[in-house]
Amino acid sequence: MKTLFLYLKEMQSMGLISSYALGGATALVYYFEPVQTQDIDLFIVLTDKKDSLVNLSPIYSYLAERNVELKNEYVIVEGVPVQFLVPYNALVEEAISKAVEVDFNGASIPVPPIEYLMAIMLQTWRMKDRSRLEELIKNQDLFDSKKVLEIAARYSLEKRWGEFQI
Amino acid sequence: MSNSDYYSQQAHLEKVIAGKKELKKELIRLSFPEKIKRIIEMQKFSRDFAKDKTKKIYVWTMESLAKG
Repeated sequence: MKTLFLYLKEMQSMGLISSYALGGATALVYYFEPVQTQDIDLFIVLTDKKDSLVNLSPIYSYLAERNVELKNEYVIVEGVPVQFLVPYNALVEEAISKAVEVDFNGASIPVPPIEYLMAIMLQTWRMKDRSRLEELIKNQDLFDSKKVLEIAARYSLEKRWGEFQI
Repeated sequence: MSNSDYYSQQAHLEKVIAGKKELKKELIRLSFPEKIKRIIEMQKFSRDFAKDKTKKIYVWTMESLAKG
């Protein structure tokens, strides 16, 4: 995993991507207990935005040249599928821009603040998101409730957030 | 089930729940690389378990839990 994080940094310095951050359950795990997840989500912001179509081939080519195992749209790292995702809306873009560098055995990886991850879960609102939010709410010392409300309100998610308030 | 059996089971289950809460706190305090390692282990376990044709699942009964 560390090698992948080092590759991401190199792709950034080469100009293939402008920024990146861990997403989904794996990002949440930085703040919370390890949870079962099917894959590891990595958000990447492409440098070349001229084309309205998202083209990830330079990323996959870069990884293939370094003998990284690729399977369909996944990169297999230590047997775990890692998926590259481009930010699909303003909330995700903002979350990536606010990500903080976190140490990972000498490599670093940006992780969005927990309040943003919670807001994204309010937006995606799948069963597993609601269930993870339920668990998080029991650990109020892990997040700033006012900050979640502030983000939720800007993205019209305050009603959903309200459902979790005791 | 007698009253004393019931209360002994209840007391043990309360201990189990308290233990789980403590474990959760410990898991939250793990380093990030250690947490990722756990996720990878969970993934591996799920894959191996799905492939294992001889898999057996052992479930604790309330009675065996109460006995500890």
